[in-house]
Amino acid sequence: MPGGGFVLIHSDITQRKRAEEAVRAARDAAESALRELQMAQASLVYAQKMAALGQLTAGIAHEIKNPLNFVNNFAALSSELTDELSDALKPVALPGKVRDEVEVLTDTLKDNLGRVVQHGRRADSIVKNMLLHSREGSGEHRPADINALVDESLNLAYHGARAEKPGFNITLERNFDPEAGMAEIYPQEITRVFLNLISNGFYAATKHATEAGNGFEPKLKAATKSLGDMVEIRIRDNGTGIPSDIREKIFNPFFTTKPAGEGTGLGLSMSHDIVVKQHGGTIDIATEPGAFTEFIITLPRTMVQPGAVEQKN
Amino acid sequence: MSTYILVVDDEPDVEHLFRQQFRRDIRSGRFVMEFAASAPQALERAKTIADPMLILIISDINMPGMSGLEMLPKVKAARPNVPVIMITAYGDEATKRKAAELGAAGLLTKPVDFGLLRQEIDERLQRAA
Repeated sequence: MPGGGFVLIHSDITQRKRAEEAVRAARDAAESALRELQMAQASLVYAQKMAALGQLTAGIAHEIKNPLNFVNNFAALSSELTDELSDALKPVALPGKVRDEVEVLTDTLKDNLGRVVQHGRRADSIVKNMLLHSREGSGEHRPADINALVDESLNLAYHGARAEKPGFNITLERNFDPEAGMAEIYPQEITRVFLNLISNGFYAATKHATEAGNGFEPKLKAATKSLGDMVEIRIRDNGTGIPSDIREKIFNPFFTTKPAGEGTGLGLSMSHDIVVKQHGGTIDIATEPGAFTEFIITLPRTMVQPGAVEQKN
Repeated sequence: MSTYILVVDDEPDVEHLFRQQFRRDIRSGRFVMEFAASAPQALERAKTIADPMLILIISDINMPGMSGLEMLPKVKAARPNVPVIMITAYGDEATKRKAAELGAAGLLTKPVDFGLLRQEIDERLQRAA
Protein backbone atom coordinates (compact mmCIF):
# COMPACT_ATOMS: atom_id res chain seq x y z
CA MET A 1 0.00 0.00 0.00
CA PRO A 2 1.51 3.27 -1.07
CA GLY A 3 -0.07 5.13 1.85
CA GLY A 4 1.39 2.64 4.39
CA GLY A 5 4.83 2.91 2.77
CA PHE A 6 4.60 6.66 3.15
CA VAL A 7 3.73 6.30 6.76
CA LEU A 8 6.69 3.97 7.30
CA ILE A 9 9.16 6.43 5.71
CA HIS A 10 7.63 9.28 7.65
CA SER A 11 8.15 7.50 10.93
CA ASP A 12 11.74 6.69 9.94
CA ILE A 13 12.51 10.41 9.43
CA THR A 14 10.86 11.28 12.71
CA GLN A 15 13.10 8.85 14.50
CA ARG A 16 16.19 10.21 12.82
CA LYS A 17 15.07 13.73 13.55
CA ARG A 18 14.53 12.83 17.17
CA ALA A 19 17.97 11.30 17.29
CA GLU A 20 19.47 14.39 15.72
CA GLU A 21 17.65 16.60 18.17
CA ALA A 22 18.86 14.45 21.02
CA VAL A 23 22.42 14.78 19.74
CA ARG A 24 22.01 18.54 19.34
CA ALA A 25 20.53 18.83 22.84
CA ALA A 26 23.36 16.76 24.25
CA ARG A 27 25.88 18.96 22.43
CA ASP A 28 24.22 22.14 23.73
CA ALA A 29 24.18 20.74 27.24
CA ALA A 30 27.85 19.78 26.94
CA GLU A 31 28.73 23.23 25.60
CA SER A 32 26.87 25.05 28.34
CA ALA A 33 28.41 22.73 30.94
CA LEU A 34 31.81 23.58 29.50
CA ARG A 35 31.05 27.30 29.62
CA GLU A 36 29.94 27.01 33.24
CA LEU A 37 33.04 25.03 34.03
CA GLN A 38 35.24 27.62 32.37
CA MET A 39 33.50 30.38 34.28
CA ALA A 40 33.85 28.49 37.55
CA GLN A 41 37.51 27.93 36.78
CA ALA A 42 38.04 31.59 35.98
CA SER A 43 36.39 32.70 39.20
CA LEU A 44 38.37 30.09 41.15
CA VAL A 45 41.61 31.38 39.65
CA TYR A 46 40.48 34.92 40.51
CA ALA A 47 39.61 33.92 44.07
CA GLN A 48 43.01 32.27 44.46
CA LYS A 49 44.76 35.33 43.07
CA MET A 50 42.84 37.55 45.47
CA ALA A 51 43.61 35.29 48.42
CA ALA A 52 47.32 35.35 47.52
CA LEU A 53 47.20 39.11 47.08
CA GLY A 54 45.42 39.45 50.41
CA GLN A 55 48.11 37.42 52.16
CA LEU A 56 50.86 39.38 50.48
CA THR A 57 49.26 42.70 51.44
CA ALA A 58 48.78 41.59 55.02
CA GLY A 59 52.40 40.46 55.19
CA ILE A 60 53.74 43.72 53.78
CA ALA A 61 51.45 45.80 55.97
CA HIS A 62 52.66 44.03 59.10
CA GLU A 63 56.29 44.35 58.18
CA ILE A 64 55.89 48.07 57.51
CA LYS A 65 54.35 48.54 60.96
CA ASN A 66 57.63 47.75 62.70
CA PRO A 67 59.77 50.50 61.13
CA LEU A 68 56.75 52.82 61.28
CA ASN A 69 56.63 52.27 65.04
CA PHE A 70 60.13 53.71 65.30
CA VAL A 71 59.56 56.57 62.86
CA ASN A 72 56.40 57.80 64.58
CA ASN A 73 57.55 57.35 68.14
CA PHE A 74 61.07 58.74 67.70
CA ALA A 75 59.68 61.77 65.86
CA ALA A 76 57.12 62.52 68.59
CA LEU A 77 59.80 62.00 71.21
CA SER A 78 62.30 64.30 69.46
CA SER A 79 59.67 67.00 69.35
CA GLU A 80 59.35 66.72 73.15
CA LEU A 81 63.14 66.79 73.48
CA THR A 82 63.28 69.98 71.41
CA ASP A 83 60.91 71.60 73.93
CA GLU A 84 63.15 70.42 76.74
CA LEU A 85 66.16 71.88 74.96
CA SER A 86 64.41 75.25 74.74
CA ASP A 87 63.54 75.05 78.43
CA ALA A 88 67.12 74.15 79.32
CA LEU A 89 68.42 77.15 77.36
CA LYS A 90 66.01 79.63 78.97
CA PRO A 91 68.09 80.47 82.07
CA VAL A 92 71.30 80.69 80.03
CA ALA A 93 72.55 84.19 79.18
CA LEU A 94 72.94 84.36 75.39
CA PRO A 95 73.59 87.31 73.11
CA GLY A 96 70.27 88.47 71.60
CA LYS A 97 71.25 87.46 68.08
CA VAL A 98 72.25 83.94 69.12
CA ARG A 99 69.04 83.50 71.11
CA ASP A 100 66.96 84.53 68.08
CA GLU A 101 68.80 82.09 65.88
CA VAL A 102 68.38 79.28 68.40
CA GLU A 103 64.66 80.02 68.58
CA VAL A 104 64.22 79.97 64.81
CA LEU A 105 66.17 76.72 64.56
CA THR A 106 64.26 74.93 67.35
CA ASP A 107 60.94 76.12 65.89
CA THR A 108 61.86 74.78 62.46
CA LEU A 109 63.01 71.52 64.01
CA LYS A 110 59.71 71.16 65.86
CA ASP A 111 57.74 71.92 62.68
CA ASN A 112 59.69 69.32 60.75
CA LEU A 113 59.19 66.70 63.42
CA GLY A 114 55.49 67.52 63.44
CA ARG A 115 55.46 66.84 59.72
CA VAL A 116 57.26 63.54 60.18
CA VAL A 117 54.64 62.51 62.75
CA GLN A 118 51.82 63.63 60.47
CA HIS A 119 53.09 61.71 57.46
CA GLY A 120 53.91 58.74 59.64
CA ARG A 121 50.28 58.69 60.79
CA ARG A 122 49.22 58.86 57.17
CA ALA A 123 51.34 55.84 56.36
CA ASP A 124 49.89 54.09 59.40
CA SER A 125 46.35 54.72 58.21
CA ILE A 126 47.20 53.36 54.75
CA VAL A 127 48.62 50.24 56.37
CA LYS A 128 45.50 49.90 58.53
CA ASN A 129 43.30 50.09 55.44
CA MET A 130 45.40 47.47 53.71
CA LEU A 131 44.97 45.20 56.70
CA LEU A 132 41.20 45.79 56.80
CA HIS A 133 41.09 44.79 53.18
CA SER A 134 42.78 41.48 53.77
CA ARG A 135 41.03 40.84 57.06
CA GLU A 136 38.85 37.98 58.09
CA GLY A 137 35.34 38.91 59.20
CA SER A 138 35.21 41.43 62.01
CA GLY A 139 32.57 42.86 64.30
CA GLU A 140 29.15 41.32 64.68
CA HIS A 141 25.94 41.59 62.74
CA ARG A 142 22.84 43.02 64.32
CA PRO A 143 19.72 44.91 63.27
CA ALA A 144 20.64 48.55 62.59
CA ASP A 145 18.70 51.70 61.73
CA ILE A 146 19.76 52.52 58.17
CA ASN A 147 18.80 56.22 58.25
CA ALA A 148 20.71 56.74 61.50
CA LEU A 149 23.74 54.96 60.07
CA VAL A 150 23.77 57.04 56.87
CA ASP A 151 23.28 60.24 58.87
CA GLU A 152 26.12 59.36 61.24
CA SER A 153 28.40 58.53 58.31
CA LEU A 154 27.63 61.87 56.65
CA ASN A 155 28.56 63.76 59.82
CA LEU A 156 31.68 61.69 60.38
CA ALA A 157 32.89 62.11 56.80
CA TYR A 158 32.11 65.84 56.80
CA HIS A 159 33.96 66.58 60.03
CA GLY A 160 36.77 64.27 59.01
CA ALA A 161 37.19 66.16 55.74
CA ARG A 162 37.12 69.53 57.53
CA ALA A 163 39.71 68.35 60.03
CA GLU A 164 41.93 67.28 57.16
CA LYS A 165 41.41 70.40 55.03
CA PRO A 166 40.31 73.43 57.08
CA GLY A 167 38.84 75.26 54.05
CA PHE A 168 36.70 72.30 52.99
CA ASN A 169 32.99 72.85 52.46
CA ILE A 170 30.12 71.14 50.66
CA THR A 171 26.34 71.27 50.67
CA LEU A 172 24.86 68.11 52.16
CA GLU A 173 21.36 66.99 51.27
CA ARG A 174 19.49 64.27 53.09
CA ASN A 175 16.50 62.57 51.59
CA PHE A 176 15.61 59.83 54.03
CA ASP A 177 12.63 57.53 53.65
CA PRO A 178 11.01 57.15 57.11
CA GLU A 179 10.14 53.60 56.03
CA ALA A 180 13.82 52.69 55.45
CA GLY A 181 13.80 51.15 58.92
CA MET A 182 16.08 48.39 60.13
CA ALA A 183 18.32 45.90 58.35
CA GLU A 184 20.38 43.08 59.77
CA ILE A 185 23.95 44.05 58.90
CA TYR A 186 27.51 44.35 60.15
CA PRO A 187 27.18 48.03 61.12
CA GLN A 188 30.93 48.67 61.37
CA GLU A 189 31.53 47.35 57.88
CA ILE A 190 28.57 49.10 56.30
CA THR A 191 29.63 52.37 57.96
CA ARG A 192 33.03 51.84 56.37
CA VAL A 193 31.31 51.53 52.97
CA PHE A 194 29.26 54.70 53.52
CA LEU A 195 32.28 56.67 54.71
CA ASN A 196 34.17 55.53 51.69
CA LEU A 197 31.51 56.46 49.15
CA ILE A 198 30.83 59.79 50.86
CA SER A 199 34.48 60.81 51.01
CA ASN A 200 34.92 59.76 47.36
CA GLY A 201 31.92 61.98 46.59
CA PHE A 202 33.46 64.87 48.54
CA TYR A 203 36.67 64.41 46.60
CA ALA A 204 34.96 64.35 43.19
CA ALA A 205 32.68 67.32 43.93
CA THR A 206 35.56 69.39 45.31
CA LYS A 207 37.69 68.52 42.28
CA HIS A 208 34.86 69.58 39.99
CA ALA A 209 34.50 72.85 41.94
CA THR A 210 38.23 73.56 41.58
CA GLU A 211 38.11 72.89 37.85
CA ALA A 212 34.86 74.78 37.23
CA GLY A 213 35.97 77.80 39.26
CA ASN A 214 33.70 80.39 40.86
CA GLY A 215 29.99 79.83 41.19
CA PHE A 216 30.08 76.04 41.27
CA GLU A 217 28.56 74.67 44.43
CA PRO A 218 29.82 71.19 45.40
CA LYS A 219 26.95 69.01 46.61
CA LEU A 220 26.48 65.57 48.03
CA LYS A 221 23.12 63.92 48.45
CA ALA A 222 22.33 60.85 50.51
CA ALA A 223 18.97 59.16 50.04
CA THR A 224 17.36 56.03 51.44
CA LYS A 225 14.32 54.10 50.28
CA SER A 226 12.48 51.04 51.48
CA LEU A 227 12.10 48.33 48.84
CA GLY A 228 10.14 45.94 51.07
CA ASP A 229 12.53 43.17 52.05
CA MET A 230 15.44 45.25 50.76
CA VAL A 231 16.59 48.76 51.54
CA GLU A 232 18.23 51.10 49.06
CA ILE A 233 20.87 53.74 49.80
CA ARG A 234 22.00 56.27 47.21
CA ILE A 235 25.07 58.50 47.54
CA ARG A 236 25.19 61.12 44.78
CA ASP A 237 27.72 63.86 44.14
CA ASN A 238 27.82 66.56 41.47
CA GLY A 239 31.48 65.86 40.82
CA THR A 240 33.62 65.01 37.85
CA GLY A 241 31.90 61.71 37.06
CA ILE A 242 33.57 58.48 36.01
CA PRO A 243 34.75 58.14 32.38
CA SER A 244 33.30 55.07 30.67
CA ASP A 245 36.70 53.50 29.95
CA ILE A 246 37.50 53.10 33.66
CA ARG A 247 34.01 52.26 34.92
CA GLU A 248 34.81 48.55 34.73
CA LYS A 249 37.95 48.91 36.79
CA ILE A 250 36.85 51.02 39.73
CA PHE A 251 36.06 48.02 41.92
CA ASN A 252 39.47 46.42 41.26
CA PRO A 253 41.86 46.38 44.20
CA PHE A 254 44.59 49.05 43.98
CA PHE A 255 42.83 50.88 41.16
CA THR A 256 42.84 54.60 41.90
CA THR A 257 42.57 57.82 39.95
CA LYS A 258 43.82 59.91 42.84
CA PRO A 259 47.36 61.33 42.85
CA ALA A 260 50.04 59.28 44.60
CA GLY A 261 49.64 59.35 48.36
CA GLU A 262 45.95 60.35 48.31
CA GLY A 263 44.28 57.03 47.67
CA THR A 264 45.12 53.40 48.28
CA GLY A 265 42.81 52.09 45.56
CA LEU A 266 41.24 49.80 48.13
CA GLY A 267 38.15 51.77 49.15
CA LEU A 268 35.75 50.74 46.41
CA SER A 269 37.00 47.17 46.10
CA MET A 270 36.56 46.78 49.85
CA SER A 271 33.10 48.39 49.66
CA HIS A 272 32.12 45.99 46.90
CA ASP A 273 33.28 42.99 48.92
CA ILE A 274 31.42 44.15 52.01
CA VAL A 275 28.13 44.87 50.24
CA VAL A 276 28.09 41.97 47.78
CA LYS A 277 30.07 39.16 49.38
CA GLN A 278 29.42 39.84 53.04
CA HIS A 279 25.83 41.13 52.92
CA GLY A 280 24.48 39.58 49.70
CA GLY A 281 23.48 43.05 48.46
CA THR A 282 24.26 44.95 45.26
CA ILE A 283 26.26 48.04 44.42
CA ASP A 284 25.67 49.89 41.14
CA ILE A 285 26.90 53.11 39.60
CA ALA A 286 25.10 55.73 37.58
CA THR A 287 27.42 58.44 36.30
CA GLU A 288 27.84 61.11 33.70
CA PRO A 289 31.31 62.57 33.20
CA GLY A 290 31.34 66.24 34.18
CA ALA A 291 27.93 65.99 35.86
CA PHE A 292 27.45 63.46 38.63
CA THR A 293 28.21 60.06 40.11
CA GLU A 294 25.66 58.06 42.03
CA PHE A 295 26.33 54.86 43.94
CA ILE A 296 23.24 52.76 44.50
CA ILE A 297 23.43 50.15 47.22
CA THR A 298 20.74 47.66 48.06
CA LEU A 299 20.91 45.61 51.21
CA PRO A 300 18.66 42.71 52.15
CA ARG A 301 16.92 43.26 55.48
CA THR A 302 17.90 39.82 56.69
CA MET A 303 21.29 38.21 56.20
CA VAL A 304 21.21 35.61 53.43
CA GLN A 305 24.43 33.81 54.33
CA PRO A 306 25.38 34.58 57.89
CA GLY A 307 28.40 32.28 57.47
CA ALA A 308 29.75 34.05 54.40
CA VAL A 309 31.75 36.44 56.50
CA GLU A 310 34.03 33.71 57.81
CA GLN A 311 35.41 33.04 54.35
CA LYS A 312 38.54 34.90 53.44
CA ASN A 313 38.11 36.55 50.09
CA MET B 1 65.29 48.45 96.48
CA SER B 2 64.54 49.08 92.81
CA THR B 3 61.50 48.18 90.78
CA TYR B 4 62.30 46.45 87.51
CA ILE B 5 60.59 46.44 84.15
CA LEU B 6 61.98 43.98 81.62
CA VAL B 7 61.59 44.76 77.92
CA VAL B 8 62.10 41.96 75.38
CA ASP B 9 62.63 42.78 71.69
CA ASP B 10 65.11 41.66 69.06
CA GLU B 11 65.36 45.17 67.58
CA PRO B 12 68.14 47.15 69.34
CA ASP B 13 66.44 50.50 68.67
CA VAL B 14 63.68 49.47 71.06
CA GLU B 15 66.06 50.12 73.95
CA HIS B 16 66.74 53.69 72.75
CA LEU B 17 63.05 54.31 72.23
CA PHE B 18 62.02 53.05 75.68
CA ARG B 19 64.92 54.72 77.52
CA GLN B 20 64.04 58.07 75.92
CA GLN B 21 60.28 57.68 76.42
CA PHE B 22 60.65 56.87 80.10
CA ARG B 23 63.74 59.06 80.66
CA ARG B 24 62.13 61.02 83.53
CA ASP B 25 60.94 57.92 85.36
CA ILE B 26 64.33 56.29 84.96
CA ARG B 27 66.18 59.45 86.05
CA SER B 28 63.96 59.83 89.13
CA GLY B 29 64.45 56.16 90.00
CA ARG B 30 60.75 55.25 89.74
CA PHE B 31 61.85 52.05 88.04
CA VAL B 32 64.80 50.41 86.34
CA MET B 33 64.46 49.22 82.76
CA GLU B 34 66.22 46.09 81.67
CA PHE B 35 66.47 44.97 78.07
CA ALA B 36 66.74 41.51 76.56
CA ALA B 37 67.31 40.90 72.85
CA SER B 38 65.80 37.41 72.75
CA ALA B 39 63.27 35.24 74.59
CA PRO B 40 65.88 32.87 76.14
CA GLN B 41 67.88 35.87 77.37
CA ALA B 42 64.69 37.32 78.87
CA LEU B 43 63.94 34.04 80.67
CA GLU B 44 67.42 34.13 82.23
CA ARG B 45 66.93 37.72 83.40
CA ALA B 46 63.43 37.00 84.70
CA LYS B 47 64.82 34.19 86.86
CA THR B 48 67.67 36.28 88.33
CA ILE B 49 65.80 39.43 89.35
CA ALA B 50 64.55 38.83 92.91
CA ASP B 51 60.88 38.27 93.42
CA PRO B 52 58.96 41.37 94.47
CA MET B 53 61.16 43.65 92.41
CA LEU B 54 60.21 42.59 88.90
CA ILE B 55 56.77 44.12 88.34
CA LEU B 56 56.32 43.86 84.60
CA ILE B 57 57.61 42.21 81.43
CA ILE B 58 56.91 43.84 78.08
CA SER B 59 57.64 41.55 75.16
CA ASP B 60 57.55 41.60 71.39
CA ILE B 61 55.87 38.54 69.82
CA ASN B 62 57.63 38.11 66.50
CA MET B 63 61.26 37.31 67.32
CA PRO B 64 63.69 34.91 65.66
CA GLY B 65 64.15 31.64 67.57
CA MET B 66 61.71 31.53 70.46
CA SER B 67 58.73 33.82 69.84
CA GLY B 68 57.14 35.94 72.53
CA LEU B 69 54.12 33.62 72.61
CA GLU B 70 56.37 30.57 73.09
CA MET B 71 58.17 32.36 75.88
CA LEU B 72 54.94 33.33 77.65
CA PRO B 73 54.07 29.98 79.33
CA LYS B 74 57.74 29.50 80.33
CA VAL B 75 57.85 32.91 82.01
CA LYS B 76 54.50 32.24 83.64
CA ALA B 77 55.83 28.93 84.99
CA ALA B 78 59.00 30.53 86.38
CA ARG B 79 57.41 33.76 87.62
CA PRO B 80 53.63 33.23 87.95
CA ASN B 81 53.07 36.63 89.61
CA VAL B 82 54.78 38.80 87.02
CA PRO B 83 52.36 40.25 84.45
CA VAL B 84 53.48 40.09 80.83
CA ILE B 85 52.27 42.60 78.25
CA MET B 86 52.75 41.56 74.64
CA ILE B 87 53.55 44.03 71.85
CA THR B 88 52.91 43.06 68.26
CA ALA B 89 52.29 44.31 64.75
CA TYR B 90 49.75 41.48 64.42
CA GLY B 91 46.81 42.91 66.36
CA ASP B 92 44.25 40.50 64.87
CA GLU B 93 41.65 38.58 66.87
CA ALA B 94 43.49 35.26 66.66
CA THR B 95 46.69 36.72 68.12
CA LYS B 96 44.73 38.54 70.85
CA ARG B 97 42.93 35.33 71.80
CA LYS B 98 46.11 33.29 71.81
CA ALA B 99 47.98 35.82 73.96
CA ALA B 100 45.09 35.92 76.46
CA GLU B 101 44.87 32.09 76.57
CA LEU B 102 48.58 31.87 77.29
CA GLY B 103 48.19 34.28 80.20
CA ALA B 104 49.26 37.66 78.82
CA ALA B 105 48.15 40.63 80.93
CA GLY B 106 47.59 42.75 77.83
CA LEU B 107 48.35 43.17 74.16
CA LEU B 108 49.49 46.42 72.55
CA THR B 109 49.83 46.89 68.81
CA LYS B 110 52.53 48.71 66.88
CA PRO B 111 52.99 51.61 66.46
CA VAL B 112 53.12 51.51 70.27
CA ASP B 113 50.86 54.02 72.00
CA PHE B 114 53.13 55.11 74.85
CA GLY B 115 50.27 56.90 76.58
CA LEU B 116 48.53 53.55 76.99
CA LEU B 117 51.70 51.77 78.00
CA ARG B 118 52.40 54.44 80.62
CA GLN B 119 48.91 53.89 82.10
CA GLU B 120 49.54 50.15 82.30
CA ILE B 121 52.89 50.73 84.01
CA ASP B 122 51.40 53.25 86.46
CA GLU B 123 48.74 50.72 87.43
CA ARG B 124 51.35 48.01 88.09
CA LEU B 125 53.46 50.46 90.09
CA GLN B 126 50.48 51.37 92.27
CA ARG B 127 49.61 47.75 92.83
CA ALA B 128 53.22 46.95 93.74
CA ALA B 129 53.52 49.88 96.15
